[in-house]
Amino acid sequence: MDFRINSLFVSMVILINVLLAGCVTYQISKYVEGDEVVVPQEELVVGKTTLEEALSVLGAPDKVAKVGLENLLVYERALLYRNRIKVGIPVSELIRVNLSMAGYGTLVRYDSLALFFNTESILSHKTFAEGSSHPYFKTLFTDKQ
Amino acid sequence: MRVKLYILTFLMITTLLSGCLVIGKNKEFQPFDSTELGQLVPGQTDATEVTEIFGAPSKVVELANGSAYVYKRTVTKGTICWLVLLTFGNAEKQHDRLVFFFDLEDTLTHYGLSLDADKAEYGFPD
Repeated sequence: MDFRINSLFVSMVILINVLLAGCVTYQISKYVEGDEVVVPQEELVVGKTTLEEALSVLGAPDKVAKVGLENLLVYERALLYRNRIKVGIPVSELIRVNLSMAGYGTLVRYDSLALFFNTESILSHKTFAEGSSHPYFKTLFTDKQ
Repeated sequence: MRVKLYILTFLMITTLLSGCLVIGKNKEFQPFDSTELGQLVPGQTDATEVTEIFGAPSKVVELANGSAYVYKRTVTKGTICWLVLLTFGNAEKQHDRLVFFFDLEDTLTHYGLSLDADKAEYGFPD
């Protein structure tokens, strides 16, 4: 069977392409705030590491706060991913309404290192949460909070 | 016949690839100069001298054994690319931070510096 292309077929393909421009769109977005949080395990020893040593290794913290009788230093990186799909039929030229439907999923994950120092500026405890290690779709659609 | 196929393919590709690329940069400026840190002596320099050198801090935080002065500036770089069916958006925000720790007598005890603002980059989501 010969593959024939006539002007009607070409016109239809162009028309479909143009219509599709308003019909289906898929958006992928990413937002990152902060530098990668690296935890130097050897240099951060509870009961031994001083505030001065921590600052020389990790630099200035993103957040500083007073927690009871201790000081909290937080090093943090935020990663936001968003996927959005929109399906619509651009018929506003014919009738006064537009038919459209959209769905999106946004996931913000944090890599956070929290260091607690006592009033003698000695590291009293530390904790690290690596949110970025959790995969986007699995984390977004799980029922687990 | 072959010419028509080329034209059709060209039209489809150009239609699908028609779009727009936007890049943008935001800067939250704070004019502190980290090379001035050499003037500071922990245990001697006080909060007044620090503010004379570095200006007003972005934030002051009360701590259990004193206070912290936070200096922060930010650079954000964003990229958006619109195609017919796909849109890509990417933004990266990085900070330069300088934090001074003072004791209850407002004497400098420690400071920390992180210069990351230059690490902000344009790009596409990975």
